[in-house]
Amino acid sequence: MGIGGSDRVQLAHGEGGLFTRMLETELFLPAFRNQSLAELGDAGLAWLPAAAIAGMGAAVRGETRTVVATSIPAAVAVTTDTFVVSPIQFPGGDLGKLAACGTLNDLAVAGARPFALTVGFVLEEGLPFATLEAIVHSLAAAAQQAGVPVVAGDTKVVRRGEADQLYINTTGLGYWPYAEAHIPHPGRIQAGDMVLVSGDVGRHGVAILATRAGVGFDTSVTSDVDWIGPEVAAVAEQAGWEAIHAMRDVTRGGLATVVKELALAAAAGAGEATTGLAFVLDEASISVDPAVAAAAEWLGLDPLYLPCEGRWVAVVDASAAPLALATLRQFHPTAAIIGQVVDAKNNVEGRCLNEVGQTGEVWLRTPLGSHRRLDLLAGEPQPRIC
Amino acid sequence: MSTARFDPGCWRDPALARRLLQRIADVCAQAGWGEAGRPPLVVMEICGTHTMAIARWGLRSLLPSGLRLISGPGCPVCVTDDGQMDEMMALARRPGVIVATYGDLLKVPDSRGQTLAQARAAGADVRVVYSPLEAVELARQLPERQVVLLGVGFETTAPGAALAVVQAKAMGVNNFFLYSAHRLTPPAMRALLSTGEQRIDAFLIPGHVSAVLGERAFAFLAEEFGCGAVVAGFEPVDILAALLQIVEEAAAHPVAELLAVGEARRDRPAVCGNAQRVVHNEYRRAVRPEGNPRAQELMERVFRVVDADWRGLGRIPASGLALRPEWRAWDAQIRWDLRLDIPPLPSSSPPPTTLPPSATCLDKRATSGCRCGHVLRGVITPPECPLFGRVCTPLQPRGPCMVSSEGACAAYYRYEWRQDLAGG
Repeated sequence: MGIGGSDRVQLAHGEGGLFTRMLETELFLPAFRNQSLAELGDAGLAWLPAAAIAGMGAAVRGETRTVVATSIPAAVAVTTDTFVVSPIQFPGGDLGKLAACGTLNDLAVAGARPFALTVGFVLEEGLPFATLEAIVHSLAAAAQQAGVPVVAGDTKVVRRGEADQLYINTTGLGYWPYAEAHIPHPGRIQAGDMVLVSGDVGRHGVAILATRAGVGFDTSVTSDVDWIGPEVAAVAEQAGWEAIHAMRDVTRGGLATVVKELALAAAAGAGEATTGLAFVLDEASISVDPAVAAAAEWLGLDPLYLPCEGRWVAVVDASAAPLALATLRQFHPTAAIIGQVVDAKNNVEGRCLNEVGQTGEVWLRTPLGSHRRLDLLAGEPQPRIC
Repeated sequence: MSTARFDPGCWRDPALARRLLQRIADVCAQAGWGEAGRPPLVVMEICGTHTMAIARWGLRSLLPSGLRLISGPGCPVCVTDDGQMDEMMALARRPGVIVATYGDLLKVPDSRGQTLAQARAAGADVRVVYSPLEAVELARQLPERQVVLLGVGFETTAPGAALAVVQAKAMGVNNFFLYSAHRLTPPAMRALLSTGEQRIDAFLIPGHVSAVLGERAFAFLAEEFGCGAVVAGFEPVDILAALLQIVEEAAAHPVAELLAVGEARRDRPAVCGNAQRVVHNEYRRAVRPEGNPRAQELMERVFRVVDADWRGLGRIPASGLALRPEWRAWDAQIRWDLRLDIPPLPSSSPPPTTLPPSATCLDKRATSGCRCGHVLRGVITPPECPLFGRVCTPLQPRGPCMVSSEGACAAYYRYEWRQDLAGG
């Protein structure tokens, strides 16, 4: 078999864009066949068996599988992530902080409250203990900041050259302390919803690129890697979970890829006919730090496709958008409403863009008034040579 | 290099861009291009960065129908022919060899459809570098290996590759080699104009190339062909200002009026300058008339000019760069005896008046329906290719114009594609 025109795994299959999606949908999903996994969300839903709930002294309602009288789902949010970034220490963070925040953030944007972490280490023979210790302490500090205990772990050491210093896997468990109907899910996205981003984008990508050997530019940019739980909780508290229709954290494929994923999921709807939804973003409203813009310009990269590790996107009910924005701005002044969900068939702008009624598209309105299309990142972003 | 000073300033100013667009529209309307059977004015850009900038800012959709922007052979990876891709693949597969390359080349298929990315997955040592000097440093650190830099690109990347060779010599790094697939821009423009296959009223001259060569290197466009030519930067206001210059000049001095003069000039090339048409420089903040003498000197010192095969355009005289004999110790083509030495043509050799047969049936991919060659010559726009957006996408590219992020097909697909445009 081949995926993406290749009979072997290539680096592009792990870059979080189109090739990764093909790998997931063509190889992993058919093998594991699970509805929760198939949604390709940030965290999966593991239903507690009725017997387990009964054992806890609660009653469970059969079909909806929610705990009687609360309508709180009797399910655990589960997410897992493996961190192999090089270099393992970079301006603004390191692999330890990344491994904690990355997994915790996936739970946060699933609308879940994390309550436990597990950590697995793959260590390369010869790794200095000082390096390991620094990374482990950084991970522990980030977990502690989020108030989440590390409850299980694993260590493996491989021969020199069989790994690049240190890889970390973290698995996170969370729960939803509110009604199942209000769990953020792309299926809840509606025409008219507003799209928010929690701050400026592209920092992590530039911080990593700048430290890779030989890139040869000085930059003051530090990674945005951070635990976003307090931001999500504040917005939820102010706007209410029912107004937050969907969330995603911005990671490998950058803002463009994440919004496109949301648009595809929203257009797919609940599995019946497509919803006819498309997204229109306003480029001028998206904040990019001047130093990030400069580095991206120099490398010939589009900041909208550069990775972040502490930014997230929310699709919220239009009526709640101003409050959500005001709340977010208390954390990052660069947070912004960056666009809107439109009905591609009936919206004036949607119609002029999608004359044949394409759904699941993301259009970016440039400051000049023209529109360009955003898509999933296709392969690793390459600096231009011309 | 410090990046802190980047400030697009007025070059991205929406209000200024709108004013320029309005004036361009006014001039076009007055000239009547694209109306009542009159053809639109055709402007070609020949630089991947221009291709991407035009697509990224959606400029095509903002311009009047009387002005048509087309892409030419401006994507370095796209114009690299199958033969050279095969040689690079052969190098990558050699035991002990590390191939250092710019990332864009990784996904370009060779004549058998194999890519460097696939070779890497199968065990070849392929490293992505951001600058040629990184490859020299890699060779210095790994003296037991042979590091080959795949040198692809135009006059913008060639000086860096030349510097890498000079540095390797100075540092005594003898396990560094350059594979030069560098190309020269002006000969390709001359070849395109000489064939007359595609109407081209003016060129947007790439700012980066001009910063090295200087605007004078493009004087022949105006002097010999009566063709409009404006050196342009890469921000939307840069491009729009250059386009305004082009339409104003074309409206004031129609091509037909100039052609007679142009013909006369070609008979007597010693007489310099066309009274009514010269190369304009809109990108003065980066481009000097004489260019960058130091970069030119480096290229002159390390490279000699040779004939070169271009995808889609065939063999163009004096359009490629190979290492001079005195640098043979660092020449990958000689070290591994990759191909016959092609002697340089005298610089006074006449430009080709017809494209060789290989250009119309450009390579093996032509049989699969891929029309990269036509796209590179500006004969068709990407959506006019029957494969575009249907079986040819960035995920499953059939040709290099869709592979490279600088390719015209990739730019159209990524930024401008709509289903109603696909399939010609």
